[in-house]
Amino acid sequence: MPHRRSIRAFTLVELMLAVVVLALVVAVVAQMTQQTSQVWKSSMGRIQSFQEARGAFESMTRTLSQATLNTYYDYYDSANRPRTVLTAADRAAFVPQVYDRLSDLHFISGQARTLLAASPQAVPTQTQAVFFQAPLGHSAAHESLRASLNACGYFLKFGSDEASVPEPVREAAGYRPRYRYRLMEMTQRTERLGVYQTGTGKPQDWFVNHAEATGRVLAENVIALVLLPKLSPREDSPTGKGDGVSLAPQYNYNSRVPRSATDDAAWAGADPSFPGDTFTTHPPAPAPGLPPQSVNASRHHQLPPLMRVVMVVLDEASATRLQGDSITSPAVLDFSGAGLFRNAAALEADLRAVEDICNAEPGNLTKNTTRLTYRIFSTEIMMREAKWSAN
Amino acid sequence: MNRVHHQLKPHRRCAAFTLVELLFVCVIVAVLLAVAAPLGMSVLRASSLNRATTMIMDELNAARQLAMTRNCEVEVRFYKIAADTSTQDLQFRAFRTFVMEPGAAGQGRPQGDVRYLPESIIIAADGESSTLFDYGNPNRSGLFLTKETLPGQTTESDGLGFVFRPSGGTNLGPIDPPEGNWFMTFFSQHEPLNPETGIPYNFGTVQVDPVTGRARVFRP
Repeated sequence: MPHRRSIRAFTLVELMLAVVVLALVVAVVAQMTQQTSQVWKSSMGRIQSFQEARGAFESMTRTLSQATLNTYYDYYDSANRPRTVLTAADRAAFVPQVYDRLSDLHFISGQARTLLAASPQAVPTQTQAVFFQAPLGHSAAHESLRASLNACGYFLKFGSDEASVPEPVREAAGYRPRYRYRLMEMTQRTERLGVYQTGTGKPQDWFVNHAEATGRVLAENVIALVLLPKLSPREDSPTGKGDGVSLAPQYNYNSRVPRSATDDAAWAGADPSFPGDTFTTHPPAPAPGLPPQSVNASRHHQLPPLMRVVMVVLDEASATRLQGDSITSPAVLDFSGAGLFRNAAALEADLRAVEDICNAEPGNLTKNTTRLTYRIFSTEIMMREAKWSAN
Repeated sequence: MNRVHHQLKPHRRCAAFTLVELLFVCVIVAVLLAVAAPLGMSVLRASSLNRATTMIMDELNAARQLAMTRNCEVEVRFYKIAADTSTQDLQFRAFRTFVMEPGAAGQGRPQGDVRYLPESIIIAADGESSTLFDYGNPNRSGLFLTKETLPGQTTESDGLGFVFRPSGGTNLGPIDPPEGNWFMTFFSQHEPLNPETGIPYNFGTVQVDPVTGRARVFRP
């Protein structure tokens, strides 16, 4: 009958069914939204963590390229001692013998564990560190001096973030201290410049005693910082000899190595050792047809003309996965235990080994099985203040 | 005949839902809404907190950049204002950057407009949660008071500020932890407070490094 049609309407069951279908659709949409936001969050996290690292890398290389030694010339006596290190009595009997480079400032780069071994507070660190002076103008009392001298340094430190995190964040529910490798920056204000502090201490006390206390976090999850002082390729590697690493064959370089010393007494017992003053470079042949001749050069009170800077950074998600709730540094990131970054000639091979570790390739050196997202920042900077001369 | 039959048929039978059925549906919709609403509100608040984070970070980074590129001091000032004219609830809700160009003595030139935080977001004014507003603490230096009439306002607003130097650093002191930890905490006024800390569970903290001037954000 035709009129039956007009009577028909939704029953409660049909309506309920519609509501259920709607609920299902909403649930599916909600889940999709959640997934999208999760992906967005994780990719943002990745971008941001590498962004921080990129900014830190740029600021570090810019500051490092301003390092200065302010070299001048003065007399040394027959034992290769300048007047500045002598006692008053010795100074009266000073007999000048040679006229050579001298500097009050200090540039040192090398294995971080060696450099910071005597720190008053232990610094868990690895790979390289560098300490130097640069005209950065950080001062509280003399703010109008734009280029006043600061001591500066870069090193890695493994530890929790508790000391630097603001109090409200520390007290918030769910806050857990995060144990990570971090790139630290030491900045000594002009009025606290330790390099001019006279005393009975060692010449390296100006950074050894202050690096831990005045270090600030520059970037997180930096697992390797490789710093290699180099000569320009023209002066060093064209003949294939010396591998282009004659200046710092084991990364260690100290501008305060005593003149003509065969080994660096201030860093006796360092492993790998600090080189002595003189070394051999391998410049190209003086003229076509002539055999190439090696040249003797010296390191004392010189800035390296070039610095190779490499930084390996993990993203926060990988670091969280690797670290978990552990408060000790992960064994798979123990690069010195794996013998990496000791021999400068093997730098490229060592970097490939680190990449294998991060990619969890079978047979990697530290037997890592967790795939890590990483990025390698690498550059070669020119030290603007370096006035390199062979002798 | 047919026509008569049609008229005789009671119209009531065509009506689809009874009142009970309708009410039932209404109740279900209401329950769904009740479940979804708080969720939606918290999402909204979190998003305005996110916006506040971005605004503050942008302002601080831009001010630092400006100081470095123009080679002059740049001030960032934060103002205590009311949410609307009817209330006297003065809180840090707005900020502005001033360029202190060497020629113009004293006052400086505002860079851009006053920027207002999203509604209900405030920056904590107590020294515990925001050391950047801990003015009057004898151990701290570098903060300064300001009193200005903001555009669109009739009365003067109090404010606090600090300076980015041309080197990129700030004038804040001391620089060494624990006192040299400079930060500000912001949150939504309407959220329930955590009795232990006195601020809501959901908040943001921006930390400024006094030596390098770099800003960092923490969102627990």
